[in-house]
Amino acid sequence: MSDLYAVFFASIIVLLLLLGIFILSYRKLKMIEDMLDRKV
Amino acid sequence: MGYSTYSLYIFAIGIILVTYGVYSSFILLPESSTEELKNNYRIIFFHLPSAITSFLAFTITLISSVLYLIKRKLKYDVVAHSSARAGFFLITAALLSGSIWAKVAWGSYWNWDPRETTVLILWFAYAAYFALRESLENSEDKARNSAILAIFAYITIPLSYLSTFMYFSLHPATSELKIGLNIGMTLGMMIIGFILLYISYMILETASENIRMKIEGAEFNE
Repeated sequence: MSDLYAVFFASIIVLLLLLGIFILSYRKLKMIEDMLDRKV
Repeated sequence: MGYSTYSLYIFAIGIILVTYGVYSSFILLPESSTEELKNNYRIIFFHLPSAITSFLAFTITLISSVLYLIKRKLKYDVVAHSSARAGFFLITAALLSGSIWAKVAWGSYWNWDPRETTVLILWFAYAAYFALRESLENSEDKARNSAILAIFAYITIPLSYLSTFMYFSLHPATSELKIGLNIGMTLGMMIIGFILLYISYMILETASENIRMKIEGAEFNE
């Protein structure tokens, strides 16, 4: 694996996992929205 | 100003810092003059911020877990769990980016180096934390048992940090890194960016969990 490929893959993995925590939060917000809809 | 507005501002600043950090690490900074590092040193701009932010997140988990055991308020358990989740994602990122770096710098993805091994133990300790939480139904049991486990799991953090001092290691000790001004600036920007993104996630997560528990009728602050 060349150096630049390694940097590219490592950065993509890190940034995707960082984004992953916000996807979890977004899913929770959608779940809350559904719960509120059911209550109403 | 509401929690979500704070979270959005912090998120925006974090994203700007990380975007500039990515641009700087790929475009602005030159190749390293050290033959073994060349371009692969750029991985540090992703590897180190994720490791540092995960250590911070696990420290918040420890503090919240101790506070839960003292005060028995579920809001501390929410903070502990949310922070552990962010820390787990980030330590996974550090582990994967580190093993890619190890492949190009040391020749193999995994070398059973003391730092690699201790971080793997840390990863399993926090994986056990989530497994324990999933296995319990009652929220009080879940909070109490996982708080105790979080305190024990935290032992792996100083262990992994000190592993490079205690045994012979290929991994450089973080405190002994010697870096130039430009690299230091980019690295600092990435670290602050990652921490701000973590803070914005924590604000969003605890606020939404608060609402969820209120809907479910649980007393968030009790």
